[in-house]
Amino acid sequence: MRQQLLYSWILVREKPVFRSDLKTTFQRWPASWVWLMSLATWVWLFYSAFIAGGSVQMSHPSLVTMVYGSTDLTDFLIQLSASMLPWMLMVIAMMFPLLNTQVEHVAFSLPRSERAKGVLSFLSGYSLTWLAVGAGLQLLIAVIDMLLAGRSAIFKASLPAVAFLLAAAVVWWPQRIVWMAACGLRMPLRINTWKSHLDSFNYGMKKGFVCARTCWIPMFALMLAHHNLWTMALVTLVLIYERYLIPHESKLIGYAWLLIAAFFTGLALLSLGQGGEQAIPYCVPV
Amino acid sequence: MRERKNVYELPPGDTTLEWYAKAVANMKSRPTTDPTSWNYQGAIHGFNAGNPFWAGAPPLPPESEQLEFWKRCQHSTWFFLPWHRMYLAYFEQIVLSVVVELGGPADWALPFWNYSDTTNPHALDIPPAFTDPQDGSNPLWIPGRVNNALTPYDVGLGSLNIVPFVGSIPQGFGGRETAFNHGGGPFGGLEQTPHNLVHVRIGGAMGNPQTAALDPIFWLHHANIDRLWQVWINMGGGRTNPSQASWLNYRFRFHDADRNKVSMSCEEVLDTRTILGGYTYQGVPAQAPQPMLMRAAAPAEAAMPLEVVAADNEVKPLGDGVTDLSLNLGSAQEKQKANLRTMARAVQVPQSAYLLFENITGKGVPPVYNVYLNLPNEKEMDEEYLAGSMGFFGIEEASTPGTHSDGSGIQYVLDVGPLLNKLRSQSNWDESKLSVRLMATGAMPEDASVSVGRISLYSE
Repeated sequence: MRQQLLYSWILVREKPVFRSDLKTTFQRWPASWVWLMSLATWVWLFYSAFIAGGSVQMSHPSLVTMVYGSTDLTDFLIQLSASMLPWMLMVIAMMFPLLNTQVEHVAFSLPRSERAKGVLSFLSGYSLTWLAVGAGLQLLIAVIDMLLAGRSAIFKASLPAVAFLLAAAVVWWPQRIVWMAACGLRMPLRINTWKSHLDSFNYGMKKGFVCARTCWIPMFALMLAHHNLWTMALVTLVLIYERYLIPHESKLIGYAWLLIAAFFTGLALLSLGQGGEQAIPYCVPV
Repeated sequence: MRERKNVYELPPGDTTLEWYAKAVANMKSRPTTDPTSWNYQGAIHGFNAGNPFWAGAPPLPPESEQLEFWKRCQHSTWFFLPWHRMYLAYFEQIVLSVVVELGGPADWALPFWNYSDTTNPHALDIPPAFTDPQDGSNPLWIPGRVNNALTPYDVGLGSLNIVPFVGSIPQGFGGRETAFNHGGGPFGGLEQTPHNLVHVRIGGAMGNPQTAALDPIFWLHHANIDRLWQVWINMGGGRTNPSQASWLNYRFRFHDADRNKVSMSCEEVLDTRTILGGYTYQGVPAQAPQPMLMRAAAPAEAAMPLEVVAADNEVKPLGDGVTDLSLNLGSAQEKQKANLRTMARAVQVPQSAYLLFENITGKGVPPVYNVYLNLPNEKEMDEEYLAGSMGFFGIEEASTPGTHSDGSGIQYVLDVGPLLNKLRSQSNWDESKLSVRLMATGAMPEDASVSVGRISLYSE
């Protein structure tokens, strides 16, 4: 069955019209590929959760567990990489659709032959920044774990709610408008082969920093919520709505974070009645 | 239905400007906190407490109100035309109510300044009613204007030939598709010329979006831009407004003449006869927008995007005089070079080519710059080699990271296709190099500066 599907795909792919359409689509709307990458990630996440027998949540091994549980450095690095996978999947699924303007800027700044490579360089730089942010947040979670050790489970269960509350509060902080405006950042790129890739990579890293500065708190909240798929999907829709459809100084997103915080508070309170940490669905794993 | 008339064709004895002056004086006497005051109306377009033109403005409305209603002008975006149409409509409503309050005519309408009228020998001059200070008592005069007359290059109407409304390279008539955009990025065709060049050529308050609407001539200039939008639609030939819901349904907030908070969508300003009582332009038939299904759904982006052929990435600070640079076409890919050779052989076939100036940053109000290609005699600025003019309207705000700007600066696109085709037919055409000269048409003010991040050539 799998081989048959693969064979059919190769046949379709080789059709000249299809090949030319794919190429033309990328040339005209380079951001369409970034959306496709995001869509593929979403499909995989939902497939893993509902069809392949996984969970709607993905857990991070705690850094503390990793350090004390690892047999050697290699083991630690493997565990660390595995723990960053859900984070990076989340970045691709949620953040890539927000990059229309930047991907188009990179693609149209370069000769046609360099466009795809330039966009890939940009995305690599962008992802690298987010990877660093993710590692930092893992460390933060480890610190929180240590601080909350021995405390009532309700503290841990309410962490996503607290993080979304913080995200909502930041929406009313005047500096956030400036940061939101910076999301449109553009940089002049060289057009000669490796220099164009270097510039695109550099641009991606800077854009990653600008994005992380604005969006790290809701992303962190989702990390605390074990990348709950439904919440991720909701947050993604809110972010896309804010990015493309409303003025950047709008406070609507703040109300959305407040609602999600209320939802997590409700869950945390519910979990109290069920007793025991195992019954709490959104606590930080230790 | 009110009619907006050509300011140079007002009949003898007409009182339109007289009442405008009285209303302006009245609005200037109102406190800045009043939404119907001159300052408040000006600040809707742009505001900078540190700019000398705003020196007498305080006390100001609360920060939250400023955030909601001030600094809302839309530039470098497909909202440029509809936002300014709404802005003018509410401003006109406020002026009309003041005129009526003062005992003036109930059918008063904002006149327009048709500076592109080649049949009028004075068309390029700011109408005299605006230029005589009368010892500072003329409400229509404002200090600081650099020029009281435009040049023919400032007011060219080549943008009317652009068919798609939306686009950046090649330019669309109305601008590129964006969300809310106060400034920064590439301009639409009409916005670039004549809009920007008129602003920057007049200079002073008009040269900067933060202060432009404080100059009473601003409103006549924008009435003309608004009229040209209707002229463009009337030309037909596939010229249509965007049909995307993200454009049609986008709403902007204003205050009406009764100081109520109101909002309007782009769809509500497509037919001028239905906007706040309705208006038409003298000599321009108004027509209802075409039904949605009849609209062409082919914006400029639907065509295959042009390709960059050459680029120069060294940041170029532009000074008072001349800045020279050359674009190395030899670095282009073989296929592109072949295209250029084809273009050289077939000059009779029109080819598209655009010169793009990116990340133009700076401050103040720099002068208008003329751009020449392959000037044969370096000392003579031969108009035959003029590729276009650039007026850096909004450069300061677009260069400063802030609530409405990412600090990347503005972009300018010049259609150099016809000129390049002509140059290629000349015997001294060098296929590997294109020389570009930028020439300031005026002195650089002490508090101004401008530099260009990248200059590139795009071709088919």
